[in-house]
Amino acid sequence: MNWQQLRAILWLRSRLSWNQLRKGGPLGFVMAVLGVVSGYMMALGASIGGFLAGWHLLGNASSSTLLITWDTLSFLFLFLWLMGLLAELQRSESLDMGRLLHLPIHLSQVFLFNYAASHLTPSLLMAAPGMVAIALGMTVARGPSFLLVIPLAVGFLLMITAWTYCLRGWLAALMVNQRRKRSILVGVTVAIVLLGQGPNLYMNLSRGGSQRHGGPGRAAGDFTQWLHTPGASAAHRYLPLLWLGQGVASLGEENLLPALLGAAGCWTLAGLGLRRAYRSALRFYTGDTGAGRVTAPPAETGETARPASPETEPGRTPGPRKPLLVEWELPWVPPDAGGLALASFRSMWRAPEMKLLLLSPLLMLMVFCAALFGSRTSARALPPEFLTLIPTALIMFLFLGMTQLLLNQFGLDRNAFRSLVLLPTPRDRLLLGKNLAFAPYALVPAALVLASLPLLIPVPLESCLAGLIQLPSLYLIVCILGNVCSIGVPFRVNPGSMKPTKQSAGTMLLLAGIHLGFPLVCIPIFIPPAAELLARHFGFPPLVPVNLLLSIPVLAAAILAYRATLPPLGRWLQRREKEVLIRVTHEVE
Amino acid sequence: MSLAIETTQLARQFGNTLAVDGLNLRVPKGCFYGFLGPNGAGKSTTIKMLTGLLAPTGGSIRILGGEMSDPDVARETRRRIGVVPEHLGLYDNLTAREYLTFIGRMYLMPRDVIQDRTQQLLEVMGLQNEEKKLTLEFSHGMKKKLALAGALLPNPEMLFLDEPFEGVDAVSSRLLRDVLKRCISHGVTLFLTSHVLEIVEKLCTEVGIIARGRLVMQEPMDQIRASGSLEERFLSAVGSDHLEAQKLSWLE
Repeated sequence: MNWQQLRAILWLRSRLSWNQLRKGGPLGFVMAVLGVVSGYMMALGASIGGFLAGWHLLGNASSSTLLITWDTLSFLFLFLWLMGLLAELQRSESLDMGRLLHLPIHLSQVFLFNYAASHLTPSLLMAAPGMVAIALGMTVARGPSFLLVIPLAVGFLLMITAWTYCLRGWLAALMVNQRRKRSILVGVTVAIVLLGQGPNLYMNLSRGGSQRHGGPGRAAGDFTQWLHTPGASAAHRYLPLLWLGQGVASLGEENLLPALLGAAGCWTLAGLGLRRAYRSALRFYTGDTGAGRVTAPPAETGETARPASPETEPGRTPGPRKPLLVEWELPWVPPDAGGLALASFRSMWRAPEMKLLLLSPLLMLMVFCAALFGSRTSARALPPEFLTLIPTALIMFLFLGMTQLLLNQFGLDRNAFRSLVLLPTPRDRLLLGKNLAFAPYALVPAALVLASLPLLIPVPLESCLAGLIQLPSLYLIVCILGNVCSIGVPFRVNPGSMKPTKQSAGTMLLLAGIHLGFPLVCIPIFIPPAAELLARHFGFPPLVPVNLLLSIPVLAAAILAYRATLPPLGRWLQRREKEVLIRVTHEVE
Repeated sequence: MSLAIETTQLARQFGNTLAVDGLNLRVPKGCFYGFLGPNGAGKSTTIKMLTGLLAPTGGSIRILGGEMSDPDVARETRRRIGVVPEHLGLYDNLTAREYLTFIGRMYLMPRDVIQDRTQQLLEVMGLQNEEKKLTLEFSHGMKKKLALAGALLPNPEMLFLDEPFEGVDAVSSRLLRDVLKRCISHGVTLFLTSHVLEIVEKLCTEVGIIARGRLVMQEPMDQIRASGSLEERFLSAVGSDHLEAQKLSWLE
């Protein structure tokens, strides 16, 4: 690619960005500018802070301290980078190479441009200037040999970004198969979350009590001891992820060789990663996605090579077919609302984003519970008032994770919302069907958590029973709010993820406000436990289960409120359905 | 003459662009109406407004005698029509049978009728061997056939088809044409938009041509055939851009 072509490519990227910004409206423009400015501020802050830390804190630090510091920095960056990778798991390149394949330009240049653009992430904006600044600070304090940290750190970062870029390309190639794509999305996300939370869970659960008593000082002491074992030395010698720490620590002992070798190794691995990523990108765009096997497109006529099923074989009478889930009748529910509820439930059950959404709050809950109640003994130390509130607080916590979905019920339908608009079904029944479809996802995991809570921590049984009644109450309240938001501020969601697409800045701010104000929505279900605490405070007999008894009228009130709001919201949906359709099916560029 | 579609001064504006400008359509019941026009003429906007997927900014629409500006009437009218939209509104995560069952239930059809018709439609559309496949794994042609099956399932009095032959291979195209012919023979009114003039010429009994948002021609196909080919009438109605000889001379 010559200079003119490079200029054209840069112009194309800037034009695309500018047009996207323009479409976002003035508020979106302001938010984008704020994002860029905060990015620069982060980089500046990391540079200044890093330089001062390198100069003053690490100026006279021992080799072991340097090793711990740089290992921690490496893993912190890796963790943040992986979190960012999760958000951008699917191939989302700055410039789509597929659209440039037919042009007379060298694709390696476009590839490098895309790779460079992939570095514009908050984690790298912090890590790269921060690490370089620490290295400069250490150079000022300890001498010019520490300048070697700069190529070592940059090589380390490039090695990570090159291989993750390669991983992204590989995953994208795998995800050409739509069914495999679902498993990959769920699998990789859960793996990354577990990877991130694993040490946390381990510390809290298996070593819970002793760690808490010993405090972080003891944990650091244990880690320092481990660093002097032969296993740790071998790990630092052979694991590329630990070369940065090893190189800096050896510089602290005035030994330049490990740092030089580490830098050379990181740069070489980065080059190899990029080379592999480029080749897999080319294979992806040219359709060679199966290690030499070209994936056959689906047969147009529907006649695939699959052997005929017994039902379709000539001369055989088809046996009775097992009823489909969508054919079931739901008691007390109108058939059309029931049909929509079952079809939506089935559809969501197969959607990877739903699995993620179900897993994420449960994983977070595990971490949260492990941190708070690492053992039954530590939980017993909590005041009883706190234990009474725990089931209700857990319900609120679990529903907070579901709001993303319930506040945008038609967003997940995407183009299928078109078929809902075309239906003759009364719109309040569409809302009822949608709310029923989400109910199992919201209620079943929460009910399981509540049921198993007394086994984990000494929560009063009646509080758990009250929680099981508060659960549908909050669900109905959230459904009312969800219906209002789904009709009023719908937005499109990227297929296979929960990532909003072209969400207006106003919608974004409004939804952020609703998320922040979510505890206010939960006030009704906190009334019964709060009343119980008050009753105990004023000497009410402990045998009367105030929490449990008051939860029943709260549920009744929630049912009445839900029933009362359904018809007017249905009429509102009827008036706004065309607008909702435009929003949720808006095509992506 | 009883009309299936009647629009009066129908208009739709996007910002400063008038996509449809005072459209007065008259589509008789039982006819196969081909709605033609060059790219960006307003075909899809019109069909979206007729089927209730897009709100008009002016004028009125009557479908099968029902005034579509009244939401309750529009909803009841939808029971009598079937639609195959340009961007098919299929649920990616349902199988073909599940999707058709869902549509049947939403039209409050009896269970045994849904099962029988679903089975027949899957067989006719050649989708009966794709029981395990989700619609997201379907090819474009298979999706079109499933969308048509969904539109036919409630046995509608009228069918709207937005570019049903676009991206469909010859075998599927033939199948779709046969199904549509059968619909016409049973008295169903068909409203079709297409770029493929040959198909419209073969199938349709009435043709309307839209250009720059205005209806520039509306005639029975017999009359068009008598005065030449559809292509000639189409080009003269929309105004063709001839390649001037002196321009692009460097191509030689």
